[in-house]
Amino acid sequence: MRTATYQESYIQLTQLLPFRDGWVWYGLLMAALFTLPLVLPTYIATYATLVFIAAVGAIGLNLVTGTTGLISLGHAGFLAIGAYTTAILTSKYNVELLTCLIASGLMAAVLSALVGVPSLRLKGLYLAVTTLAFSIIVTNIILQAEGLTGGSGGISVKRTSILGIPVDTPAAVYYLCLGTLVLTTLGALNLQRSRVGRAWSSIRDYDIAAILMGINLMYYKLLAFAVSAFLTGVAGGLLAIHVRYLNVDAFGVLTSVEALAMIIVGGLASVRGAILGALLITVLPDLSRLVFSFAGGALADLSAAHAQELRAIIYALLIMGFLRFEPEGLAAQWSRTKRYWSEWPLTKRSS
Amino acid sequence: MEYFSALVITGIAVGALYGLLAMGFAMIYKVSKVVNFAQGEVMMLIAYIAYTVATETGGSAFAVVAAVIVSAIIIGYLLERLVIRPMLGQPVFSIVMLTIALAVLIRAVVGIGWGVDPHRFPVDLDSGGLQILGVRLVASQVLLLGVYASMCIAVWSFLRFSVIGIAMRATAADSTTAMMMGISPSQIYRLAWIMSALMAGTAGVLLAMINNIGIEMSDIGIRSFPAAVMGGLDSVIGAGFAGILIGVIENLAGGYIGSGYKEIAGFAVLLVVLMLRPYGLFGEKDIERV
Amino acid sequence: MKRLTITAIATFACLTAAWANDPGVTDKEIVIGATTPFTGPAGVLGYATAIGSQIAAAEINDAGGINGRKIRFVPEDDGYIPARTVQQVQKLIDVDKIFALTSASGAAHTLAVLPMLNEKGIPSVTPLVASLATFDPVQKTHFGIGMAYRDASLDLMKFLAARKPGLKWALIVQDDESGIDQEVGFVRGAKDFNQQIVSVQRHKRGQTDFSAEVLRLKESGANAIFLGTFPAMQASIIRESKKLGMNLFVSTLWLSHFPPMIDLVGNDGDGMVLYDFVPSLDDPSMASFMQTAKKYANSADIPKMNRYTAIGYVAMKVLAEGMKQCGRNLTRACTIAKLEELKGFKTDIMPPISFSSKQHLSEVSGYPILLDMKQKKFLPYPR
Repeated sequence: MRTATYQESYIQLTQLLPFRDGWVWYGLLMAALFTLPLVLPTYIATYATLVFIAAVGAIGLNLVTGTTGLISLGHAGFLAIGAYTTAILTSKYNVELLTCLIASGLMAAVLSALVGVPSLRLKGLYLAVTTLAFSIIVTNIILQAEGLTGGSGGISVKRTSILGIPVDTPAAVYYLCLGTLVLTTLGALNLQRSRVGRAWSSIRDYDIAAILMGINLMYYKLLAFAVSAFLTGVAGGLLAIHVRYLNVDAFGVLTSVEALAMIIVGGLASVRGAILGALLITVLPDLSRLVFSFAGGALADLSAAHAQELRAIIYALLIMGFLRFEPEGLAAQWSRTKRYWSEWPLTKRSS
Repeated sequence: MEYFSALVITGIAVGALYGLLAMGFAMIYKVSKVVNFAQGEVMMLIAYIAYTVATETGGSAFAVVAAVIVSAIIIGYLLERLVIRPMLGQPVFSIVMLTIALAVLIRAVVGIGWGVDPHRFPVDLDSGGLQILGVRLVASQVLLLGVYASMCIAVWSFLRFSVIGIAMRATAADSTTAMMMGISPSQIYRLAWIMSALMAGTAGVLLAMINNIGIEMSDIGIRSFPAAVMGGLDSVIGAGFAGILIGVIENLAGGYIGSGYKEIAGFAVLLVVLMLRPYGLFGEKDIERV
Repeated sequence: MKRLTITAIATFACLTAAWANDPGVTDKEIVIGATTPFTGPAGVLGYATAIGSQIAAAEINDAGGINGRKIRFVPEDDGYIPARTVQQVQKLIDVDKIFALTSASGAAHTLAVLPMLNEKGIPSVTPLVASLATFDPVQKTHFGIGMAYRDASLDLMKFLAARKPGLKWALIVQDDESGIDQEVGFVRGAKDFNQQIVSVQRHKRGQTDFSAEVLRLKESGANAIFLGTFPAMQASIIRESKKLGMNLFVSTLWLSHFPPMIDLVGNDGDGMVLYDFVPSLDDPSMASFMQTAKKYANSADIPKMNRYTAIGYVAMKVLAEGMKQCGRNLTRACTIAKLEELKGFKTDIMPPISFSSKQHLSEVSGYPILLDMKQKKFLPYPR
């Protein structure tokens, strides 16, 4: 139990992990994640890869919706832009992956201006619908541009190499996604604690006061969308590499809604929340299947005529339960649990 | 010219549907700032209940109407009481997410209860109808337009002239003051949900008659949301009008440009409207006081 | 660390009896997997396909299995999303340790998992054939039974050109791979057999209102329509056309060849011509299949059966035949080789099935079917 939690210098105040036990625990986590594909079956590694990709996207969405307070219902559009950029670059031009990912991110960031500019005028749900319109228009354009994107037939992705190292095994993709997630997390955490992050939070809390304090609303709003789109675009590129075949169907409204679910269930404006939310929402469909198989053999196999609907019900009930009892999200639950155990056995119940 | 008018008229017929759903969205948002993303699913549930009643009673129109009204009241009440009320005071985001999860839940329940296959609605209102400018609208479509028009008038006069309606507007404007004036906001919310369910249910049954009933029916809910926004989320009549507008635009785009551009056309117009009027066509500008 | 891990894994692997064989094969059983959509718009056909394969597996097991080994069938749902197909196939390979696969959903989904399947040499025989993307070029491990949509619509057009010439055709197809494939074949057929097409439209998935589309085709002067879309939408389009006072001759492929369509389209659908290579489930030639199906399927699943059950059944049978010919020495490579040698494999349901090393898609042909609303049945088109 940590007792000496005094921060004795300014540097300590701004550090991400000011105390040694933080280093130890996160170090262990990183070691575990690093060795995962070597020890566990490939199936788990591919699952984890999906979670990492979702987490990168969720962190991106969180920056604009959670931290800056600009609701985006159309992040699937950025995901699609990133994914298709990578797909086109690898399959048609054999471009190396690092360039592809950066290009995907930049492409999404540049196109985010189409949503960023309206955000200067529109508030709340009106902005949300604009982002929704954006994502639908993006998918429609992808469908129409058959020559470039393969239209409704889809497009396949070639796994080229990254900086010379070939990316052709599930383990390689896993490490690529893990690396991207680590960089994204560090970047997002730093952004949030910096001047930019503080400006974003002030926009969310009270934008008139922000203007009075001299914060350039236009610049920071556009920046929020750009950074968020960049991260989501990179996530899209990773998705393309992972799945190896893209189709517009995967980038509809449901995906945007799922992304929102990740950050709301995880906890808005919290990077940890985004990761936890991504983990939960990605795992949830299979979790409900596990609940099922424990409930009884007869329910678990094909003969259950309504297995799928029952799983959807469990999924929905779990999310509703989380929101009902944990409206602040998983991150808040985490903090609370952490505080409980770090003060144990002297924890005081406070509401 | 006949082609154009035919497109417009059938567009209005479709738009009435969007309009009814959009009015439901606006009603709930107006009083509680919550967007009910389960609107399409509520519509579908009530339609399915009416479907069962219709099949059991052999297509009795009276039974169907009664079923819609009764189930809408019950469902609206239950949803508000059990799902939304406990969440009041929580961030609006969470409540909205809850409605999305609710939508998934209702859809799954309907799938279990009735199966996922599409069916024809037993009440056959395909005959008769009207001929307007060379376009034939069947009875169910005429009924839809009639219901839509009367709903618009009813809602408008209700909100304007009746005491409860004024109470609703008061709650929407400032619920704390309304409470001090003796209005119970929770009752108002309940009323809003019930009315929204009624509008959705009517729309659903009519849609089932015009088209067919199937699990994919609820998709139209999400597609009506842009109509609500375009009209102004806190203007019920505006939402209704915007629904018609989007229906006509979609049809014109589909008829003159191509089927693939239907969706985009609606959204493009939405974007233009929002750029010119950031709070929707009839929405109230949010005056932020410092 | 790495050496320790390798030693640990090697030791563990040696302890399992299946070390000597291909995965998924033990002395007693063979594990076969499948991913199809159980939910969503494709759920009607995905689930039915899985039922069909399960019936076939049960029937084979009842007759003693494949050279003494019983089939254990593991179907998974992928909700028609390629990312999830990848996930499920990975799980089937790692956790269930399948020997072979029947279907992997649609063409895009199959393409997503083919690199994995080819790498491990896992044979797959799918009945869910849509486009030729997975069969041309030939994939080492992948086989299909059925027809590509474009071949089917071409054949249908040939029939229509002979029996109903001189019509002005309009097309409405769904804007996705299956719809466009149907369009391609029909358009080609129109050119080959000198028929006229006056309007081609593609609609978005999930569309419910078709007033604009039907008005447009009315403007073009069409008097016949070819539909390449799902049953509910077909019914909507037909009703819409009747509302506008049109009396179109309707033709389509097998997507609406199932009983709920009769109720859905009602009298408006009288005289509709479909095309399929599987007879209706209530056709006398399918009586013995239906008997088998009812014997082995769960009572809750029987109402969900449709023509996809029949082709799911055939897919499993074909795969089983390939495995059977390998005798007790069952390996993946042998199965693939035997499948390639398969010629004239008879089922009661479809025309005989043949593969070759250059042709992994069985060449079947279909026949036209008439929807007769007086009898409320699908009947073979009168000669």
